[in-house]
Amino acid sequence: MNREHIKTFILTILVIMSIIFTQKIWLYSPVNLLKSNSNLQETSLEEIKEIKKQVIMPRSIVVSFGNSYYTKLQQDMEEVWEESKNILSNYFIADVKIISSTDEKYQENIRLKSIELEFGKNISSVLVSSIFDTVDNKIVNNIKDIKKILITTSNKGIIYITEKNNNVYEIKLEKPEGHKQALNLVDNIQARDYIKYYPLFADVGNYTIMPINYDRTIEKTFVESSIDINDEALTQERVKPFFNDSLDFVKTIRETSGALVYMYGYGEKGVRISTKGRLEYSSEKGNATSTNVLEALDTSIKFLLKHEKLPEKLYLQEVRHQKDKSYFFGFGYKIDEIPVTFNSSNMKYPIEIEIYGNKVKSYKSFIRNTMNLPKVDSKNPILLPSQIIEEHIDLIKSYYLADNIKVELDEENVLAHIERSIDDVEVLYYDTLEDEKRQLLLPVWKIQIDKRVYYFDSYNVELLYSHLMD
Amino acid sequence: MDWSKAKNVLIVAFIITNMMLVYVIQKDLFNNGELQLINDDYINNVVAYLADNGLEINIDIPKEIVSLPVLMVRYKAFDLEEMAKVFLGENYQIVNEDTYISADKKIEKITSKKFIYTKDPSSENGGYPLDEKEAIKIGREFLQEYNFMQDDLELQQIYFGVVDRFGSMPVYKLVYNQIYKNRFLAESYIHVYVQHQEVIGLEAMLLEYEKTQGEKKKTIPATEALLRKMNDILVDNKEYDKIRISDMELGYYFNTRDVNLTTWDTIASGTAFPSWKIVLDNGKTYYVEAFRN
Repeated sequence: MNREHIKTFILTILVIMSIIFTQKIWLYSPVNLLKSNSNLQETSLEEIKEIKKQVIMPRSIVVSFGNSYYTKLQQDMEEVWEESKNILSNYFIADVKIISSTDEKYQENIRLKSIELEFGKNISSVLVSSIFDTVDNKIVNNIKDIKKILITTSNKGIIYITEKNNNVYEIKLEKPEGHKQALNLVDNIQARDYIKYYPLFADVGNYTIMPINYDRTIEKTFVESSIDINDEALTQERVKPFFNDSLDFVKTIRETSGALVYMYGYGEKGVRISTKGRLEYSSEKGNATSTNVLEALDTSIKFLLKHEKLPEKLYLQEVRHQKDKSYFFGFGYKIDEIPVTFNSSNMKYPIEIEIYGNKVKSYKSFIRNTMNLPKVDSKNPILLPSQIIEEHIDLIKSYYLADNIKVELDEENVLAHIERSIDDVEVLYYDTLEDEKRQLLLPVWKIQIDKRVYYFDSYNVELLYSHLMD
Repeated sequence: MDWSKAKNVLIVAFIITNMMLVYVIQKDLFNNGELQLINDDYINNVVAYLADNGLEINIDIPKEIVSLPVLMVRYKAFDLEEMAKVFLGENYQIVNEDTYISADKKIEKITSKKFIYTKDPSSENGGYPLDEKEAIKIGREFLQEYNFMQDDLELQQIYFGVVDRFGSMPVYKLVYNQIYKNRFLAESYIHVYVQHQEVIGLEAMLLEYEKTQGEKKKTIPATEALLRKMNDILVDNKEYDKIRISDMELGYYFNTRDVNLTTWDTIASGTAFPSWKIVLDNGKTYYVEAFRN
């Protein structure tokens, strides 16, 4: 009996020992790694599709109520876009007739009750079409890119699409149905408390719409960079995915400014994080393989999912097919439904990504998160762009003259020229990029006049920045 | 069922299993050990292969395979004003923010990492013949006088010849390199130029050890480093009839050349990886990272 006890005891010890030893080498087993990889792939395919549908959205939506009254949506944008998608899906899926049209016809329709969706720069029709799970349809085959879509309410089953070179197309449903949907949507928005826009300079032939009341306060918000370079451990965690989750063979360099650079091999791959928390990644170009814009966007979203904590309101601002056959995607994001912008020589959009073949060639990101700090309310109401233009008319005049130095201008008529060339106004959050933490985002009016874009503080009217359009 | 017998069988089975597991774990530990050697036959094969490709080896190839860690190092920052006070005395003139001069001396900085001191040769010393021993003594005394004679500096090379910057008279160039735990720490150096009885020039770029990063890892053998770098060396030295390797050593190299996203000017500190240094007899030096990834 005693002997049996000893045997049981030895056996137990041996079993425990084998468990401990097995654990020690368990990590080397590839089974786990394979398992987790396949899981990741499965989930990401669904996610990629979902995010693709989210990021391809208009950069602005203008609703026309007729009688020269309009509104530019801010808070209700997502809701209206969802509704608009329901209306638009028919045009991409069902049988349509595409007729070349004119700008006059477009303008005529926008003055009536309608919804105008304006997309980012150079968004190809196949991208917009992919939202409706179709990439082969008449719109994709006949229209190269989509700058604007106008959903009319007066014509049964007609929408207008303009390309970036301002070609206008009329898309007519063969069997129109549910055309009341658009009218209901417009009426529904009209019944709400909206910000009124009006073509203030219509008397000089400029139909750009400008707000005539802006009784909303936009709070100044404190933000911080998504990467805190002073927290080395967290920063390392953040860059690990760029190097297959291991920094064992990754060299680190700290610059005199405090910026950190991580490098793999002899310059094959590198990540640089600036002191303000801007991340820049570059990788050696692989071999060129044929790709199209949809695949390239998939690749970039897959990359974003793996390497970035994506902001909720991410949207595609620009697509470019570059000379070396790579694709460039510029993404923007919003805080409290307001797009965030900044002025930097290094990057134009908060997220920029270049895809070569099926590989990410370069990637830059500068994302800010709102901080848990009280927001700053301004005592003054937000000023209107027309008031700002009036206040700064001398400055605008001098820029206008300097920008058009080669053109012979009658100085007395400069004002009329300026009024005619006011192109677009938009509310944005402006990041002055001064601080890594506790950076105050300022609400600004982005006003485009002639070839120049101005950013004015919408509370104190100060000109924060201006640049010539690209 | 006879439980007693079953237990015996299980005990034997588990003993065998555990022995196998211990072997696997031990083998791994052994691989991480401090020192291993590569065998001579393999080295001879590699030497023959390199020779067939036009790369001659003039040295005994190191046989060691050791485990080394990664080091964090930073460039020593020189303050030009302080340097000027030390080397030029109180009466100096500022030519620009990077150059200060006095009567016959000049001090320049290239970013804060590197500085160059030059002195016009004194006429009274002209023609004084100098032998190597004396040159070394003068150089060492100069470094001691100006507090540059650090413990981690080692005199590694001495050239005697004409250096353009110092005219047509030959000078002794003493090359001091930094070491860390008996291994080179590149690239860091002090060059001392001695002519006749005085030091007429000094160039310094030094690294400072910050910390050791992570665990020690096994380095690649010298033979592997040679094979990895062979093509680069051959392409880079096409114009030479014979390419000979005159030195090979394992140490730490802070690679600031193969960088993208940053430039040497802005670098303050970083990781020095264990690397093999391969020196050719034409003076060219190559570094090969000694980790296998």
